[in-house]
Amino acid sequence: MTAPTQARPIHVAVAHRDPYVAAGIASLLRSRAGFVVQSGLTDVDGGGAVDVLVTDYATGVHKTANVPPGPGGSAPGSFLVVTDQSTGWQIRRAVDAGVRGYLLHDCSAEELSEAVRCVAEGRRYLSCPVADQLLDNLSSAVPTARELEVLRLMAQGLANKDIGRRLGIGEGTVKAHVKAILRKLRKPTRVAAIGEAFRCGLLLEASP
Amino acid sequence: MTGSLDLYVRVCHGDPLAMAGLVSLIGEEPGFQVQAENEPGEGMADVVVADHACALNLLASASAVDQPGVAGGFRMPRVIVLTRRDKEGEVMRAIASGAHGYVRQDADPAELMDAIRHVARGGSLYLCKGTKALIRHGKPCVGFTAREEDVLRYLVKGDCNKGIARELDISANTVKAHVARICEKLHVGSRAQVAAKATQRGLVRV
Repeated sequence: MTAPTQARPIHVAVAHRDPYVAAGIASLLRSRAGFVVQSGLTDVDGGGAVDVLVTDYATGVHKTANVPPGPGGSAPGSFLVVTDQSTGWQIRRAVDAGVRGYLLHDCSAEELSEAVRCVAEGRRYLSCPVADQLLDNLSSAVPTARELEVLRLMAQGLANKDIGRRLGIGEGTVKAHVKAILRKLRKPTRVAAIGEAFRCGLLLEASP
Repeated sequence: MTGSLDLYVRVCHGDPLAMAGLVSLIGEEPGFQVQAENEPGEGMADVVVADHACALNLLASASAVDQPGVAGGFRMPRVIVLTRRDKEGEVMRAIASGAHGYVRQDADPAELMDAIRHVARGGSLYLCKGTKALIRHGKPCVGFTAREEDVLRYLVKGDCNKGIARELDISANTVKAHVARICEKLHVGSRAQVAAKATQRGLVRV
């Protein structure tokens, strides 16, 4: 099935902030035919002929959004992200930024090499759970910017009155926003809504 | 340290990629013999490096034998948790189950190698830098009773007192008293704050 790609090896650069995942990806790809693996992104910026860049979430999203088109209009390598950021909104942000492939940390060696091949051929690759989350996300209602502000304060445990004071709006207005948030997240109570907001990645947990 | 025998390190990790990385990084370290989990081991590993879930399973089955340090005639190896989970509650749970080390996966691998040597020598609990800071900051583990943990689990889901009472088959007033105790222990004033704090600190198993 993948016979045509055997002709030229796929050049892969690996830069992952989890050193074990980075070493694992490099050693698994090296043990298979058809891949040339380098560690780090240093040569890439210099215009090296890298087909696929395998990175963590932050690196992938940040770099894709900021990579200038390569010299002579040739596309720079495509990004494949390996991460445990599995919420719908996180995935959507990455895909919007231009990430071409998305795998979760628990993927198998077979899936990894399949994904790298896919992305190298110019296609996209989302693992099954990732595609699931993304599709769920597409059907969810998007809160307004103001509702997000309210949601953030709600998640700190503030009461409507205090949220109103913080944002300089009336308690009644806050109440209306909260109602809209509960409706959009399809949850009956504010605590349930806060939980759902974290689950779907609308709010991100600050790492300690 | 020179001239000593090689250390046998067994590796268990749920993620195939991290597993491959662990095997290759530990294998490159001089003085270490690495053994992947699914290879037949003769129960001779000095140290086990495992992810959070594997480590807890291992420690639970070891303590089931009920004799600390001895399991079915074999000396139980010492366990180091290597994980991405870095919340206070998760760290405390691992330590309480008897883990000998806790190292975050995004830490420099040199720290893991140190941890393996330290633990193999019979040293006391090894915490990586990031984890140490975490434990020093917050007071280690809020002591919830088993019942309070039950209530907390439903509260975080967003259930009301009546709903929780029905689930646990106790009266709504009892639930109310539990919630008041939980608020007190977390030093907060509302149930939304309880939910926020408990989730952030990893005090509930979702």
